[in-house]
Amino acid sequence: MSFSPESMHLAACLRLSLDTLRLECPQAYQRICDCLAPLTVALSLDGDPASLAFCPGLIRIVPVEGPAPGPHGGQVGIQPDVHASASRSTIIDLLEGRSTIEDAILSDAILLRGRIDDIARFHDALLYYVCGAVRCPSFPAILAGYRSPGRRRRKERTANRLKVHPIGYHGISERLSSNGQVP
Amino acid sequence: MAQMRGLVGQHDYLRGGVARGGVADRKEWYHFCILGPDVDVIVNFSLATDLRPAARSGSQLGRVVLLLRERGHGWEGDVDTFPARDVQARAGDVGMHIGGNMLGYGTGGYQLSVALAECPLTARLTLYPRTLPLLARSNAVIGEGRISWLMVPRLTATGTVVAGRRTYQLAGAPAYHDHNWGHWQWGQDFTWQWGFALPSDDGQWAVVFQQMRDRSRNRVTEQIMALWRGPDLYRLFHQHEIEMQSAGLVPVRPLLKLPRVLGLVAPERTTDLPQRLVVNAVSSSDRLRMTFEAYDLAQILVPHETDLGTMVINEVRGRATVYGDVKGHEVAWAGEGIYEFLT
Repeated sequence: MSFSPESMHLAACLRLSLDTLRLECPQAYQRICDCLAPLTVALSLDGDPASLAFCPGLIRIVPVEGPAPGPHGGQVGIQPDVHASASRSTIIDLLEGRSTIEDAILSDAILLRGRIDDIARFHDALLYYVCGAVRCPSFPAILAGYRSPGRRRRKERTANRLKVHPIGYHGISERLSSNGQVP
Repeated sequence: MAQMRGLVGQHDYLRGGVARGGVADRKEWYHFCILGPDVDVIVNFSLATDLRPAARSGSQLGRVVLLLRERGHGWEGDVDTFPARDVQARAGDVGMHIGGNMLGYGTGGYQLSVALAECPLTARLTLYPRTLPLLARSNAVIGEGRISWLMVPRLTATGTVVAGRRTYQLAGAPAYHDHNWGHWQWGQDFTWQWGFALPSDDGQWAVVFQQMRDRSRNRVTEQIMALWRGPDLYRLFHQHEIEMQSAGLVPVRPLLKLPRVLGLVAPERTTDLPQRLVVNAVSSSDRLRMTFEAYDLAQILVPHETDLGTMVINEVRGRATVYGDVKGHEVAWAGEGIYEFLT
């Protein structure tokens, strides 16, 4: 699977929401990092992929299972520790209280793959993400944009007012240098 | 009756308007519970300092909660939040405007007009006070702050409630109202349980109980039980005169949790709430016993302001029986009520 313009959607949503979380509820952002560093998580929403690399104090969006710079400039492939996939309708059901995360997992509406300890850490991080999101003044607009794509333009205007500094598609060099190993 | 309404209006005024600053963690709300024959309605208008980490210092939020319980359809509702620019509230007035929702007070009583933004529920109600207001607590300790509590425990409600395509006309439905204000933070070391019961037969009684505990719920810090007869407070029991006993657990069933998104972090479908709550009050020759049998509940979830935790306000619907001998009068009636349990 390679990075393509189609994958911008989920990646852009994640970047916006994580930047917002980092600025507006840094405690939750830090807890997510604490839960998941130094893991990498591959997400897929209706087949739209994005990968996140978790470092101490920082979450990076990384190319999806594509080449990334190694510690000495070489290229390595990312092997995510956790794979999670779901549909947009599943996410909407969760947001609107029609399903719980447990229900969605047990019914395979959310598919998870990875070591059980890593999946448990991912679950905890997901809850911190929600706990942080409900404390961010800018999240209602982001959520509205997600629920109704037609409102996306308004959401982006709101996000622009945040003056966030976008996190680009970074490699995982920090992670590699911090633990000295290729995952 | 006109004098009673005048007294309510004189005492149930907004203590802090939306523009009033100075206290960092100020909260104030008007709360109404209406027990209709086919629909129960809970309405809450609140103002609070915005304590979210990124909020501008001193900014405030307005919130409107509308929660319905329809016979045969269960609970439905939502919590709508508004920035201060969408709130009109002036200290000294009774009521406020939050978004397109209105709470007012006139010669006819309380006027409520609520329409949720994303949930097809509306309520337009007039509530007529049938008792005098009672300032039950004034600057009482709550967590690391203070709270005041004024209540009008028995009113009658008239108006229209719409849930989707179902319309309910209320005419003289029994209702309860309170008004709280103070300053504290959700997540501090406190919980509360309070509740009310009103007679099913249009009787003139009303009973309210309230208990504050620490967050572990092992230590009772304050409790009262109040009995009204007609418009007047008839007997007030407090502290060591009151004993509460609980038994069983509220039946497990699908739970409405509001706001829905917060249900993701508090997904539990079970609670440790008592199915039966018995409140006994004894003082000199006066004795009063209320037994509350719970049969349904919904939950309002509130993010802690002290950490990343979540507090649960359980709105529990039930039936009550009240027996006793107070001031030489026998008390014996059955009714309906709601108790609220903070966990």
